[in-house]
Amino acid sequence: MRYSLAGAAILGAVLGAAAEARAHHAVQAAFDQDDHVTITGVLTKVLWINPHVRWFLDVKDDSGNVTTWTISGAGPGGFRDIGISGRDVFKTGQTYTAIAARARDGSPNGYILTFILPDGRKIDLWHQYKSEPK
Amino acid sequence: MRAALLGVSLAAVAIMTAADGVAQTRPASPGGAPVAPPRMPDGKPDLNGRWGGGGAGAGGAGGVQAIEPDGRVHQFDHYSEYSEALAAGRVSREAKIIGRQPNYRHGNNVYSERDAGFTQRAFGNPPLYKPGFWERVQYLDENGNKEDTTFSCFPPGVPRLGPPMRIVQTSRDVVLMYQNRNMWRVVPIDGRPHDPENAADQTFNGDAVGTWEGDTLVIDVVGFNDVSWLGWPGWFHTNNMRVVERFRREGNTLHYQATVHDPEVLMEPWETDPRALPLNTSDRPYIEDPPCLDFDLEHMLTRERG
Repeated sequence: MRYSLAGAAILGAVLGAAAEARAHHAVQAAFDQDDHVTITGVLTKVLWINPHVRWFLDVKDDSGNVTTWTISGAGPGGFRDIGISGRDVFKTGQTYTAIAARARDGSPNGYILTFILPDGRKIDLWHQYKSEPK
Repeated sequence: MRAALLGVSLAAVAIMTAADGVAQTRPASPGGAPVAPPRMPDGKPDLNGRWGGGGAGAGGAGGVQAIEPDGRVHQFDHYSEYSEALAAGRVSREAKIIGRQPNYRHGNNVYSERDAGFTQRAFGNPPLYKPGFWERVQYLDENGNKEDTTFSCFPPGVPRLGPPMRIVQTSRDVVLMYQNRNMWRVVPIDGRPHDPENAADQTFNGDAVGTWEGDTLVIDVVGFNDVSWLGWPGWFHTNNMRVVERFRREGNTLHYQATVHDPEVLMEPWETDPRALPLNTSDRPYIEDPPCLDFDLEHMLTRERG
């Protein structure tokens, strides 16, 4: 019993209110956090949905072929809470660069680490632990 | 002596409630005695209110940081504050913006998943399954990416849903509201028995009826499916499960705990970890919990989920 109470306290600290929302969905099972891909394309759509936010980027290669990349992020609640879901941050029709953890299956999917906004500012949505500052 | 102290704290609650509409301060609990709750006109404890995080997002966990090239860190609660600072020249355009990073390690999704998984397995409060069912628990845990139906956006069901973020109470029923999928439950508390048809149905939240045991609201729930789980590490249940939820208000704290009776697979009733939710007096608007759509399962190549 002592252990389960300690566990409850630790869990509460780790998960906070997120415990009863939705847990993360096995990010590592689909994306390799050690394999980063950088893509630049036109933002065509943003879905502020559970369990992961989705950004859709149309990326044109050298021969003019367009591939639609789907970039995921954390759940929408946290982004909304701090205002990153605002329409001034992600504008469809503009060009964004996404640095993302690459999908393990080779599909055009990624899990967002950092966005570079059209004006050049960087927004980091995932601590990389080894190299990032506190 | 104890009765006298209780009387004093009761009076304090009454005064604060009258003065502020909603009591802002948690009343002291002299000598550890339970603090009486405010009451409804019918004399029952008043459970009305916004409880805990209260359904307005992550509740300040994290925020927005802007880190200048020289290492100076600006901390903001909201992106709009950062935008204002940028417009006013207090932050440079070269500053790197970091969104939603409550702390160093748990801003990394992989580490936070692993830590949460480890914590639940090592320090969790697992239901005590009968011999012969642990292999199934282990199988489900190891294959949770495919087997845990919340991963494909099914509702968590009672009791995994946890306590509500908002309660609306009348003399006849309580409306329990959850941020999770904007879910709500209406539970009669007028002493009626289970609806025979609904009690035989198989649903995520079951058929619930409530009664008062003293100052504790006891909600009895039957009629579940066997799709939902009790918890993340493969804790399954049968469709003959009965859940008893207990709500008790002490001062401005709501205590919530659920007990799961599932004798087909459990050695003994399982008691969830008790939760204590402070009254949330925030008037921030509630945010909509957007729908859940799964795009991920087909891309999951490993079983890893923490």
